[in-house]
Amino acid sequence: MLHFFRFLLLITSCAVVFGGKDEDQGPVIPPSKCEVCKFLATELKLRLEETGKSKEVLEIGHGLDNKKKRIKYNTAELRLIEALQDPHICEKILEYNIHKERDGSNRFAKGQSETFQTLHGLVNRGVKVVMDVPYELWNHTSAEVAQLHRECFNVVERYEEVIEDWYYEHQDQDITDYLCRKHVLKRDDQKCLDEVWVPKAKEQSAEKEEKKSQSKKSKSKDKSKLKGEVEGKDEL
Amino acid sequence: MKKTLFILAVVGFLFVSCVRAEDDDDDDATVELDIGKSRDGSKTDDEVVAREEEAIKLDGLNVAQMKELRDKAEKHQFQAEVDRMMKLIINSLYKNKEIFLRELISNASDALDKIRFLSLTDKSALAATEELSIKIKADKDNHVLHVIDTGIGMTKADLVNNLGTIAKSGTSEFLTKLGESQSTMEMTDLIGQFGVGFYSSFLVADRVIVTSKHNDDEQHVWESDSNQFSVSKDPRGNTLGRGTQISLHLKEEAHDFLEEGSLKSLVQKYSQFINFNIFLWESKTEEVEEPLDDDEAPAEDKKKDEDDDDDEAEVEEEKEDKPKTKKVTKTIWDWVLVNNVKPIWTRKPTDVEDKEYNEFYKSFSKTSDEPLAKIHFTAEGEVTFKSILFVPKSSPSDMFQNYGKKMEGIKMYVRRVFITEDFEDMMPKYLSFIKGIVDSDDLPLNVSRETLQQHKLLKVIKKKLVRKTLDMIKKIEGEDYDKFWKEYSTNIKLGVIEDHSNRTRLAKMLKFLSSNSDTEQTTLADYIERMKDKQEHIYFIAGTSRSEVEKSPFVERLLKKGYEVLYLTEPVDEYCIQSLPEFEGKKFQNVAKEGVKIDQSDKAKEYKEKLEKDFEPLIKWLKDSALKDQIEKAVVSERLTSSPCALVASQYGWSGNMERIMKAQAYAKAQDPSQQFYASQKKTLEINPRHPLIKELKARVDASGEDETAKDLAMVMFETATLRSGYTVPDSAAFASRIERMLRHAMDVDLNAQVEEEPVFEDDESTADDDDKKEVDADAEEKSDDTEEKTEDTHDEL
Repeated sequence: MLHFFRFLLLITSCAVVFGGKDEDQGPVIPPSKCEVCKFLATELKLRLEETGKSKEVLEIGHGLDNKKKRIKYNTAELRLIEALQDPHICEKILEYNIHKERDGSNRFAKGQSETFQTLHGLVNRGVKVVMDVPYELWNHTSAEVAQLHRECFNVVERYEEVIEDWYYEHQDQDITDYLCRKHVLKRDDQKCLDEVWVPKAKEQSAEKEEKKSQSKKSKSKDKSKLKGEVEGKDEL
Repeated sequence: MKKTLFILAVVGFLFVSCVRAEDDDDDDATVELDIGKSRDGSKTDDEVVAREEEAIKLDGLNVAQMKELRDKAEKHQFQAEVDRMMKLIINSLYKNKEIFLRELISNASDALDKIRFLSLTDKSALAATEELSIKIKADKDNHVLHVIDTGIGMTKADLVNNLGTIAKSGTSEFLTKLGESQSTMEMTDLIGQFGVGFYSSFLVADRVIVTSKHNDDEQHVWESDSNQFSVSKDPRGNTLGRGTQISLHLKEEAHDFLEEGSLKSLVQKYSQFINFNIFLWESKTEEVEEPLDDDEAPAEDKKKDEDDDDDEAEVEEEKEDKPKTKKVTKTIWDWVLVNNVKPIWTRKPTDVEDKEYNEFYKSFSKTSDEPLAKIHFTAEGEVTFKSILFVPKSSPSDMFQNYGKKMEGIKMYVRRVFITEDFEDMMPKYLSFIKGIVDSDDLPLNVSRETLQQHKLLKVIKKKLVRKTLDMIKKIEGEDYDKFWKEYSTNIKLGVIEDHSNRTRLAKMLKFLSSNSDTEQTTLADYIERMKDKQEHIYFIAGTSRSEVEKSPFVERLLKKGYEVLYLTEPVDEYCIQSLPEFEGKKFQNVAKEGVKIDQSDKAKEYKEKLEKDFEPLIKWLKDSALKDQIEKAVVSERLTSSPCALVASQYGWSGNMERIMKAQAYAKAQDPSQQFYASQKKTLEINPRHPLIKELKARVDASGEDETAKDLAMVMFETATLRSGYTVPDSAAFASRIERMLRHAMDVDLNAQVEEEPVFEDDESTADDDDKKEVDADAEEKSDDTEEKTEDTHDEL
């Protein structure tokens, strides 16, 4: 059995969903289907852009005969496989963090959220910050992102043929439109696809925060908790 | 016209035989260029007789040379393991002697593969001879069987190392396995797999002589009578060109292996899938037309000239000349091809019979079992390749000890040339049990293995191989699938975790025990078929055994209400399910975690709200007073029927099963913050509002919040629930003392009654050393552990 456990250990970090627990379970809003497709399409577009300029021509076959096949990398199966699986496109999702101060699907974004920037800033200044989650796990994938990550794999597997169709036949169309609007979200809410994150002035976002729905409670709660701690520190 | 050709052929043949005859009369220098073929091939009977006079029965070695060979030879002893192994092989396989030929041919084929592979990057590797073949020749008069290849050959050091020691790791493992093996079949499989087939030569021969020429060394002769061996430089010089000749001096009882017929059938039986030509030195009687003319050669020449120069008219003329020749019956010796080298995978799948696939599988995987499933396909597209893949009947016993380390299942060919069988990642780890071959025309041949390993197109090949493998597995049905699942269930589950690109495909193959049947496992698809109308989730519970999870408090009400629950009893199961977000649109619900909502009707909701209100004080008391800091919260349970309470993990926390597995990780990082975080997560205590104990507790708490007995009772109930829910009780001593106190209550024993003092005996052996004392201490500790366990067991009934 020993060998088995060794293996299990290796996968714990990805198999177990990390998430701060909270009394009312409010803060964890699972990613919607729309969000999953949106970020998958975004990432796929980026990956393909990276390799899209390549003028490389693959030479297949042997120097020994003249039956060499020449394949343009730009439309090659290889490019698609590399974009999707090497490493898996959904691993890019793990670069996202949850930005609770933002609206709708914009809550998923790369980089550190404002909340955590503030918190880390405080820690760096020597402030003792106490949260539900130990400090070591702050940067760990959050429950929402972990779920987004898992759902992403699902979409890629399920809509593989659609992605292939787009790649070989419809590259002229936008991948988000083709994959998400026309297929994945055919009968579902597509609203999130139109949400574009525009950084706002600080006051505005503060104002927004006030209006935030139930779901944002936890964050403010964290903040209030944080406030207490910080104040205590200041007094010292 | 046809006749002309015939005559030409006859003439040609005569011409060639003339040349050959000349060759034989020549000295060694000329013969060297054409090993085997001319030297062995064209010996006439006279010569054989002549050779009999030679003391040592090796071609062309005269008495003086033999003496030289013997004198200069370095004597070696076999490594002890080799000695032991040879004895084992000889003693256990005496009934299955014939395998020696299979092993020698297999070795020859490997040696040929090696030189052919070398020649891809180094053309000079084949400078000695372009020929790549295996030749078998029986020398009936001397009872010697020769197996000759033009493979890579062995240097002197190779001869000593390869044929005197076992360098390959795992020798002792091999010896153990060989000792344990039940049948000769198993044993012969092992010999091939461990690459020690050469030693089976001693099954049939009392003396074995190996002559070998490697490009980097002189030709050497290795000789052994199985007790010791000697190696020396070949006094004849380089007669082989390149390669190895094994000469077996057959024991009397093995003389049958000199018969053409038996050799031929053995080659066909065992070595039909060797990808090199195998020739057998065969005789056949033929009627040959010979010219009546005594003066053969000039006549031939003349005819030849005529043929070359003149037109048909003259040929006609020749026909009329027929009486010039006569029919003679002659015995003709020649190398006859005995195997079909066209690789099976290059044939059309429809043209290949199942039996052939099975034989092919056996020959390349070196086992005697038939495969469980196979797939033969040609992948088209960017990269074209042909492949045959097999699922072996049984999994290697060390599959998980070497998980991710050994990858020798897929043999890689480029344009029919064998490249390697240990390419990294040809298959993902979880499919490492798949065996097969891949042959692509589109990969470059003239590059090193490392370069090829990096070749981008391999990615395309890999992807397709995985897909085809999964297709093949999907097609296994019925009993065969049961066999497959028995052998490879863990692999598939690991696949679900590891292979994100094929998770859904793999999920369809999963089978678990469930409450639906006592014996049969169910697929997820079948579970969904049986789901209740309004059931939204696939319910599962994980634990160590069926009997444990069946009795878990978490499944009580679900089962009572007729819901089916999957029982995950393998360590990998819970991980596997966790990495599946859903199956056919249905999400999974671990019934040991929060979120189980059974009855969603309005009436039920109303009832529950009422209950919650009734139990509000108890719930508050539990959280804030009795079990302060022990639980996250207490709630009225929806899932309990007969148990008073249960401990439930949060959606993202560890279930009891997961906690057990995580704690058992032998390689766990000490003080891992994420581990500690999970381990310290507080759980929710669910209480059963209909249970008398809970009702009584409620009554007491309603009466007074400071009831100490109630607090004690709550504590024990919490600890019981902890155990029943699969977790461990952190402070088992405190738990035990609480139980003991309750036992005293139950049996009316005074709480303050002391344990009787043990009488003090005069210690006879007061000199006993410390060690003894320690042992006694350890025993005592063990005993106390035992009692503790017993307490835990019995306490459900309390």
